[in-house]
Amino acid sequence: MFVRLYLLLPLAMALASLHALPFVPRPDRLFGAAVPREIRYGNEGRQALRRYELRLLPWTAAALFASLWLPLSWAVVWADAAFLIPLIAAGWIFSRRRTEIRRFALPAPSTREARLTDADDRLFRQGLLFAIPLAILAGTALYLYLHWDAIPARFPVHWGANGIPNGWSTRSLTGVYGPLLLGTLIVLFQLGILILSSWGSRRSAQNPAVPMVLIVIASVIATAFSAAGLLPLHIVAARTLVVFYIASFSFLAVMIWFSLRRHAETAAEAGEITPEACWHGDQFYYNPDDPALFVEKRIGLGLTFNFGNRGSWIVLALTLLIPAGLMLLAFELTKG
Amino acid sequence: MVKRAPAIRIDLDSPVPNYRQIVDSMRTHLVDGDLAPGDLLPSVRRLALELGITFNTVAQAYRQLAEEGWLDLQHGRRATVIDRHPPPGASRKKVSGFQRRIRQMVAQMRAEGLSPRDIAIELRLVAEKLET
Repeated sequence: MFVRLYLLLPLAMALASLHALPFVPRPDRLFGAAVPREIRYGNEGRQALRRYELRLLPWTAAALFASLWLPLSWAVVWADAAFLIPLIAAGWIFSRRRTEIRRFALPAPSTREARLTDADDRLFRQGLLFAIPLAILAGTALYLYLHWDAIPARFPVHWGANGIPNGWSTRSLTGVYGPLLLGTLIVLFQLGILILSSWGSRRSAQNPAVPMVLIVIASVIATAFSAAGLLPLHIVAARTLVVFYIASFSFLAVMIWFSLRRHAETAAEAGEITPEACWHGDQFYYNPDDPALFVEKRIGLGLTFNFGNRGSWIVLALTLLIPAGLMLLAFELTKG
Repeated sequence: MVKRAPAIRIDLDSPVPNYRQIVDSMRTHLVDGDLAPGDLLPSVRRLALELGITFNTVAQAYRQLAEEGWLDLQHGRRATVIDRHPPPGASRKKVSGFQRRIRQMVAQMRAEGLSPRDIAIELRLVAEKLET
């Protein structure tokens, strides 16, 4: 029951986010096209939104229904498929609506505006808040250090579905502090993403609430890795973990909702304008004359790479290589 | 209430080069006092990024304003507005140059369809602002 709930909760949130997708970008956008307000909130806009919702509903309903009834032993397959199939369907339905609405799109203005301020988007203050997840991990490390003698020479770190331990670790630096090290690297990676995205994108493209969402995610990750880090001394009950995840996901959902609302409000006055000719297949932005590493996605939510900038390729390589390196490290740490 | 930083605007379709538009726009803020001595300006990278143009264009504009005595550009520091003492009086040649440019601008405004009355109102507004 708890395992199914554990799988269903994030799935339900992900499917709900697919339905919410056209409503969250800034108010002057509809299916990725900048349109006049009378279209966005008029008959054409309402009809396009209704068609999107109605066509997506059978896919998401089927995914949820299948997740409720399919056996847990197939979870590896359906947990992924239940999101991926509706995601592909949503992408297709979205692009169809975009084609419909594009004829109302406003031409991109030739004027550009910038504020003459040296303020760096409160980046430093927001970066400091990353001290919260790092402190959670550091506190756990300190606790383990102070209780080092109480740690058994060999302790379980993984359990099978039947509740019997099937993975063990030893009282060594990597064995005890490994999960905390991994958690710290993941949190630092997130901090790096925040700094790079703020540094390399226009202010008008930035969602001011994203750092807060990232800090909440980092804190959830830090707590989860701290729980794993405490395994040598305390085994956290599966029930406690499920409650923790439900609380975390719910809190995260609220944060994301507020973030998106705030974005819609603050971004109302001036959205980012990128030349139409630089978009290829509506997804890939290539503009060697634009110094931005990241630009706002066509959908009006989130950032994407400027493939015309060499720096973007370096960042892209890092964002692929670092997680791969972290996975390798996790594998090495859990091997023993 | 926090003072909102002044904004500059450029038109990519304008026949006036981008760097010239930045210089003109910033000089207006400097003359009007929207930018005061000691104010820090955005870095070349940040301003270029916000306007979506190359770093060189913004750097050229900053250099031009520094040559005119408005900005202090020291390596490793943000461009800073400095206290500029205007020259005591423009030469006769310079004055006639400005007069020619004003006449050219009025001709351009008329060519773009503005009525003589609208142009006179605009010029009067500028003159009144100068006197206050």
